[in-house]
Amino acid sequence: MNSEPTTLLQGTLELLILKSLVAGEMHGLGISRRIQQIASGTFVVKPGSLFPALHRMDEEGWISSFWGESENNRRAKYYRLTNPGRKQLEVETKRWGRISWAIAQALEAS
Amino acid sequence: MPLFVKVRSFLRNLISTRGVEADLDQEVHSHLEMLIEENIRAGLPPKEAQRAVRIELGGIEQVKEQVREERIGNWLRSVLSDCRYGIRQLRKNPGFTAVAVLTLALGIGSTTSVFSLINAVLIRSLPYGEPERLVYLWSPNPRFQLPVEYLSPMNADFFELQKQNHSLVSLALFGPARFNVASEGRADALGGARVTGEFFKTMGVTPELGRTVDEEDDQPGREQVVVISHRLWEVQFGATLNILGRALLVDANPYRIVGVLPARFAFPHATDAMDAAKVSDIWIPWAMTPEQKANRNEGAGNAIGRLRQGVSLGQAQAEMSALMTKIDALRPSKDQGFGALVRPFVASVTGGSRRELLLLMGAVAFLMLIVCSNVASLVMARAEGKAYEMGVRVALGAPRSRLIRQLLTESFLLVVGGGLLGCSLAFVSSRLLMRLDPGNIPRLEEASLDTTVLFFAVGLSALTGLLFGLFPSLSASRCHPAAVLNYSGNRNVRGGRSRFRAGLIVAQVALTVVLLIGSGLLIRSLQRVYSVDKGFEARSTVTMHFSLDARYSQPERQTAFYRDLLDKLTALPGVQAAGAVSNLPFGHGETLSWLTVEGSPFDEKIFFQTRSVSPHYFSAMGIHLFEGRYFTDDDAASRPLVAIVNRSFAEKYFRGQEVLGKRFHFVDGSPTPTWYRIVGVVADIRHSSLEESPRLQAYLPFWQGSTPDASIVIRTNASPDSLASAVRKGVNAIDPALALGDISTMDQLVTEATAGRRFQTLLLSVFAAAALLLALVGLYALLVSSVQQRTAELGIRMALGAQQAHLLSLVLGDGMKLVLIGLSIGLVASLALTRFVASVLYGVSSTDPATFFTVALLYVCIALAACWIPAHRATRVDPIIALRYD
Repeated sequence: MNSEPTTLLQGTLELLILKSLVAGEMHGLGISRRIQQIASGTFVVKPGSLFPALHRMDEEGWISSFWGESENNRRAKYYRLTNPGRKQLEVETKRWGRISWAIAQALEAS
Repeated sequence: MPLFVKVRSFLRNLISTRGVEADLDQEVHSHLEMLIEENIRAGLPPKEAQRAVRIELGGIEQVKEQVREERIGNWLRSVLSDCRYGIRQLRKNPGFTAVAVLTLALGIGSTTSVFSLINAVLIRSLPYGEPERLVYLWSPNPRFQLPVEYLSPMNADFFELQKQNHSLVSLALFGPARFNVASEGRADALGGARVTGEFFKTMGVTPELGRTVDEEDDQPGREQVVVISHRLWEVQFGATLNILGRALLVDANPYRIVGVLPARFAFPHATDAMDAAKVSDIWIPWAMTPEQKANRNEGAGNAIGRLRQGVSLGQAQAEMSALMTKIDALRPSKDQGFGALVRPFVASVTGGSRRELLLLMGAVAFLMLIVCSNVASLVMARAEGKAYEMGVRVALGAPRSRLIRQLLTESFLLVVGGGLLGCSLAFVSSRLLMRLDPGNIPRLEEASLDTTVLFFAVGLSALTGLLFGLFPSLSASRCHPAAVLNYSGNRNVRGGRSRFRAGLIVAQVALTVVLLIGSGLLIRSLQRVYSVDKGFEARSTVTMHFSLDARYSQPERQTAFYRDLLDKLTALPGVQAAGAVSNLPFGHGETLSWLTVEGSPFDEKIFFQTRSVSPHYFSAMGIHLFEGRYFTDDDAASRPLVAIVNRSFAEKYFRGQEVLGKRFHFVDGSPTPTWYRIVGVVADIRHSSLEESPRLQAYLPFWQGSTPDASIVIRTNASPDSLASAVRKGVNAIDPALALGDISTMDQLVTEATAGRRFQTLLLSVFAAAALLLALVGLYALLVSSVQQRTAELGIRMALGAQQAHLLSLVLGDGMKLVLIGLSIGLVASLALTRFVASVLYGVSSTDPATFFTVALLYVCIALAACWIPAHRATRVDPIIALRYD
């Protein structure tokens, strides 16, 4: 499945960010790479969508941010999952489950 | 807490913008550098690595902007930036901004100050507990053609109603009166009322100090207690706290102060009851004797009641009518016919001034419409100038909603400026209005800018902003970039919008003409009122009021007092004549009597104004004698009864006959009539209003009757103040417990009687003048901008040989065409609208041709002047410059 990268459905980026942060705190580039990795390269997350999403989620209180040192001793902004964020992940996961099931049903029916 | 987090982010975005921006900048840069490092590690040369990253990132600024748009409170940021931009734009055009803001301030200010009057008089609740449950109770009788306010229930009827009714919680009587109040060696004449025990309970007033008069006090022998006003407590007793129990001589009887009422309570006010003083300061128990209570032929006071909770006016009316039918049957059948009428108190209090105030509100609404259309026109003129800018912005992809918001923001800024300035204007003008208080509008002096008024001002401003801002914004934003940008300049961008502006000017002219004609008619009415023949000579008179107390109940003692006083006054230097009268003209009191005139049948629908006057009253008032003689000191109690009548009286009953020697008698139920012989005929006098034609009037000699309450009229060249102190000395020598009240001149009384009309006329004229000014500014501005836009066209015309006079008439014609259309519409509208003011006009028809013609002529002249300047400027266009204009 390593063909053309696909654009993301509305709302799925947030789900993927939340999911990738379950593994631990990460900076923006880390999150972007992690998503690429867990989605087997189906999605490429460009900074133009990544950063607005991160800031929005930060303002919603799902993730929190702090400045830290990167692997190469560079200052980088790190994000970590908060408790509301964990709850949001559950909600979003369930919602996504419902949507994908419904779409699968719809496709089978035709 | 997610909400808390959101609020914190919102505040952080709003307040520490710089910190948030720096943070974002660092984050994006570190991301960029990490990406580059990653690419270098993957083996790309540094330059290639950077390029690849730039491509992937798609521009640092774009990323940042995308983040910014996602932030909480982003809308506020863009509103603020719109405001900043708007303020910059307005500052670049100080002329436009100043005119627009001042126009708005004028409109908002005058509307708000009129509203503050309406708020104080009609809206703000009265200072009585639940005033909407208060009712007046009248006892009209269809046999007499009198206004209902003249007929209070007869005493015995009242007490029956009080005992038997179930629809009122309480019912009380009050009798407005003037008292001689002496304490600590000084005597003052103070207004107030006698009240029955239920009065304060009915009014729903709790005292500020002590207690009020109650049922216990309202019995003969226990009535020596008095409640005073907050004002009197402050002025005369320095607001001392140990006021309760102090002694006060009221009409020479000892009373004890038991309570002080709250500051806003001053009932009855002069506008509340017929013969109430201007200010009420003391209230004493009525304490009627059983005989007084049983009197079925005299209504001594005004009845006021409070509806029981849940009882409607209609129910109360039905019960009172039913009771009154039974009670009325108790009197002899020839005297029957008295009914009951329950009137809501609030409507009675405000009824008289409601029409006047609503007229002012209507006028100010017209003014406000002119303001809106004027500012709309200005904003549109400016928007036309910005058509090119708008086109460019649309071409660059600005959404229409964004442009509308930008333009509305500018209007909003103008309104905020106009509103703030308008409120300060309203503050100043409400102070001025209080100075002009005509005295006939209750509680006008309480007008102030309270929260209701401020809410009104804010609401008005918002509405104004929408009204004048929305249409220009919509029309300006509706532009086709291709059309706009294709013009190399704005050589002939005319059309729909200028037609709309022209329409606004026409509307303004029409509205202004209506206002001008309205105020013109009022001014003519005022002139007519001023030139009315009052029947007496108001100049060089001083008047004052006396009320004699119970010590003077014998007519001989009254006569002795007044004779003594008048002799002393006549002896004063500078006094030409001094006389006494039972009811002073314009003194807010009138005695109406039934008379039977010899040779004519009795008509109970005709009432005569009767007065007792001393011999020199007529010469003191300067009243002309047509026939016979004035009274003399020989017309005394022991002598034959004589009378003087006015001209209308003589003409109605004795046209073509000898008047002198004819007789009349009072119809007062006594079995044998007492005849009065007419010895003189004097001029008709306007007694209570300059606008009411004189009634039938009869005068009786002072010395032949009983008149404890009287006014003194002195014809003199001395000033009222110096005379008053001389009079005070004289009175003090006769009786130190008596006080002089209502010191005034006839001139002042007449002026007061016309104050209401003057107030109304003045305000309406001010609004009309303001409207005229605004309409002219609007016309001027339109022509100036049209000349500016047509510079090139004018230049070509000139280059082709057009004469200056031709250009002048071209521009003048453009302006005057609008004026004439507006003028015609305004004149027609006035014909339709002025009938609404017909009821407040005096001696002028609501379609008075002279007024219409004057206004039209005046308008054309002034409009010509306003058009002249821009037209003249058009002739000064230099063709060379004009053709290079773009």
